[in-house]
Amino acid sequence: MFAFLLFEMACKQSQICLVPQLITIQGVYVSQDTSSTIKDTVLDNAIWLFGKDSLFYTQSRNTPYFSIVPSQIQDSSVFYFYIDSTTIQTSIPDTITLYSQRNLHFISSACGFQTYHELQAVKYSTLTIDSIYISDPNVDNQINKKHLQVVIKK
Amino acid sequence: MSLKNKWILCCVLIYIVPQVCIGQTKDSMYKKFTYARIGVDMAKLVANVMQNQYATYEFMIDANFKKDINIVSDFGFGHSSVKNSFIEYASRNYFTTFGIDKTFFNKEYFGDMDNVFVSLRYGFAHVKRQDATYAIQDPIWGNVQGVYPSTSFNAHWLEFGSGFKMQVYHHIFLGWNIRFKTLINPKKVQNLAPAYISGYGNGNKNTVFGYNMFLLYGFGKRN
Repeated sequence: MFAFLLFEMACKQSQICLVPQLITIQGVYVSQDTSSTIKDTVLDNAIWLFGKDSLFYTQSRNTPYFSIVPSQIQDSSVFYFYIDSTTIQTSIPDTITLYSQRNLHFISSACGFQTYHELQAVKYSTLTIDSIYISDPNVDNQINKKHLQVVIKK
Repeated sequence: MSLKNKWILCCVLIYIVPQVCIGQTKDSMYKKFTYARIGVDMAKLVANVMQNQYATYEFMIDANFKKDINIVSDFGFGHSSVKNSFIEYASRNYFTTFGIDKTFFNKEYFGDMDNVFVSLRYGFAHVKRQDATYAIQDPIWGNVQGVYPSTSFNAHWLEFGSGFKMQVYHHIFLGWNIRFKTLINPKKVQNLAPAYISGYGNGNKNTVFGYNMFLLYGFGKRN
């Protein structure tokens, strides 16, 4: 009985949260070639700025993929996109606004909640971006999804 | 209740009903419900003292039905709380289980009540959860805090177990058992699951192992 009690105590102590509370929007850069077929496009040094004072960033180095974090406190999130991070001081970024419906999702009693998003719409400027498509509106804790397709101007 | 769970419940009833009914003709000389035992789970009382996440008070009553079958019921109540940097809530519940204990060995002497058994039970708990306050730590856009409203729900589960009961003094018995429990309606329980459902165990898990150490007092006429 004592062994069982110790076992039970050990199990209770191990309730540590290992699941991140923040959910990311996954995306892919694409471009149209001359035959109008869309294919993944590797960007050498793209950067996204976002957050409270746009102080946070995520950089895409030699990859066609990116991930950004949407706001959990309001239904719209504003992102600034530079196609080349070395020109951040001199160039004007594209502004992307994502509108989403936020849904509270319970993870566990060790981790509490996280916010799932259902993407509703996207608005964007077209300095370096041709267009943006929502390919999967449901942003949840599945990491293999691609929610956005960003078509880069040639 | 899902189709799968209905099948499980049907299978359990198909097992229990013949055990109970067939005995009426086969053991017609056997006097039913002449001896009963009531007891308290001592292990849970000790566990209550050793941690502060939950408290549970569990009792058991059994009565002889056939030579090798006792009708058994557990009942009790408890409360639990979750408190960490992400979420804080408390819950209370009461529970009851019904089922049978089927013993293995023949009686060695008149009134022998010592035995090893396997058990099968259906469990039910009514859970009340209070408002939950939560915080999502987000250094990027700002932390989120809120209150998730209180709710009540019922939990249903099945138990399969094994154990023994032995007489330690006149009408005093000790009974130890280990049980495998599986929720029939896990979806009802999963959202803000109680840290501990009295009678079941960890509310975050669809299947759990549990144990009891009962101290029982028996009364009545032994067969």
